[in-house]
Amino acid sequence: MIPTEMAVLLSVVLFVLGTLGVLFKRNAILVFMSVELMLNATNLALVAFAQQWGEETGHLFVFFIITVAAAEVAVGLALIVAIFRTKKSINIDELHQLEG
Amino acid sequence: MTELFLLVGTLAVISAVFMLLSDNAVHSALFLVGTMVAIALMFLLLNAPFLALIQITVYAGAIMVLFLFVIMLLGAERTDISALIGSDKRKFRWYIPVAAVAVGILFFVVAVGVYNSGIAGRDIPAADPLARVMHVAQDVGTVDIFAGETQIADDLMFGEASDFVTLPAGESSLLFTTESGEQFTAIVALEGNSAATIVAHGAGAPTLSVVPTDLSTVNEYRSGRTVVFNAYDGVDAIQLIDIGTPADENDDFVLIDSVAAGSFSEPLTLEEEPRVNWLFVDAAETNDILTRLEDYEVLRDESTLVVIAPAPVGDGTTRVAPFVTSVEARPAFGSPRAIGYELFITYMLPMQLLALLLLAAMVGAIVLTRREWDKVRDKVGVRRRVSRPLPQVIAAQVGDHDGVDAPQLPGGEGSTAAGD
Repeated sequence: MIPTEMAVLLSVVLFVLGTLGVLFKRNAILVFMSVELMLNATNLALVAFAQQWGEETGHLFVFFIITVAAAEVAVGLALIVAIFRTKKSINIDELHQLEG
Repeated sequence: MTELFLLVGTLAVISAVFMLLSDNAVHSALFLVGTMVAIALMFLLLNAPFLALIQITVYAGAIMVLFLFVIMLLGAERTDISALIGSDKRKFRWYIPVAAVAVGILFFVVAVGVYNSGIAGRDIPAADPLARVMHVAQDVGTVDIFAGETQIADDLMFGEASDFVTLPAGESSLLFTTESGEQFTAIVALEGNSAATIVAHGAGAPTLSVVPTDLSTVNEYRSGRTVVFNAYDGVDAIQLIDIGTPADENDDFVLIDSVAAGSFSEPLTLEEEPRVNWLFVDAAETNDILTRLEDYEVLRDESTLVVIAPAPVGDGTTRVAPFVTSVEARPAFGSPRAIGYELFITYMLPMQLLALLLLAAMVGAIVLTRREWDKVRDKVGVRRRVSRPLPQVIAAQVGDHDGVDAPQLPGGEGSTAAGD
């Protein structure tokens, strides 16, 4: 059995890497991929805690998160395609239409 | 195990770092696939085989293909890493060091929190024991059974078992009420994190024997688990012989050597078999057949209890008979079956809502990427231009923006278009 705290630490490292990606990347698709990395990190923590407590509820939540991520990717990538078509760019620095 | 964990964890982190540093979006996506696969391996190590498969098929498969598809569709392979390494032509971004420090603090706080939370040393409280009662007591007819406030059984017939109920760990007092209104009390002791069958047997006031019932997964391939309890005190011990098919006399073999009266056997693990014929004989005198179990079906993933007890025949005498009760073994932790049970019993509504969400996302993606929006915009433009000179209107409708001279344009179509 893998120690829970090690799995959670790994999940924290991956989450932080994902956060860095979201903060520093200028390509909208890469920002999106970093968000996926963060979701995966939380999944890892949930599975580790599920093992610790011998409860399958954690697995169920991971299952739901994966489903929601699939839906989110479908809509998000469609948005990116639509934005690219009008703006001819997916650099998030150039996408500030709502700026006051 | 821990070495494997470190290996897979390092793989995941290295992949994630390269995903961030790579200056080609396709390479980034492939490194992210590496991270996903490493996390799937981690799920396997953490006893979640079902999720590992889902992770590979949905994440590393479907979602990443979608990403790669969009990257290549938009031709967005080249990305800048200048913002990350600092050689940016644009002016200095003050928020980059702030963000880096904030992320560092986040990592530090969570890491310290994880180590100080005492996750590792935390004891999980033992679950309350599960228990059921099997009724083979003589001369009492049907019984109602209570343990304190908890009702275990209502009108439990002779030879039948109740459903499992949760009882507090430690000693519990069971109250039996017979058909004629007589009441008996008996005390049983149960341990936490276990399941047991309480067999009520004997004549007069029922004697209670606690038979541990193993509800955990049967690990052997397509096998079931069988325990024999001997509630017949007419002989010292009984023996269980599998006689196979009655036609062949050479395939008899002893399954259980001897079970003393009032005790239970070690669990037998038997492969599933549609028809078995078992003989229960006196262990001291094996030619003395006490009773037989014919055409009995051994089911896989079931925990079966066979109780040998004297049953009333009707004219006041008794005859030894086997009483069989089975319960499905719990599926292994994290297995598809276990997840399926949870999903369909506890989380049915959330799952349906998620299905609707996925449907909405699919429709949303189609609507967002529809080419129709471009056409709508063009039409709006045409309407606005109607008040302009006719040649321009015709040119806009035909799609020829350069040549606005009327003589070159097709006159018939132009006149109808100008009419509206």
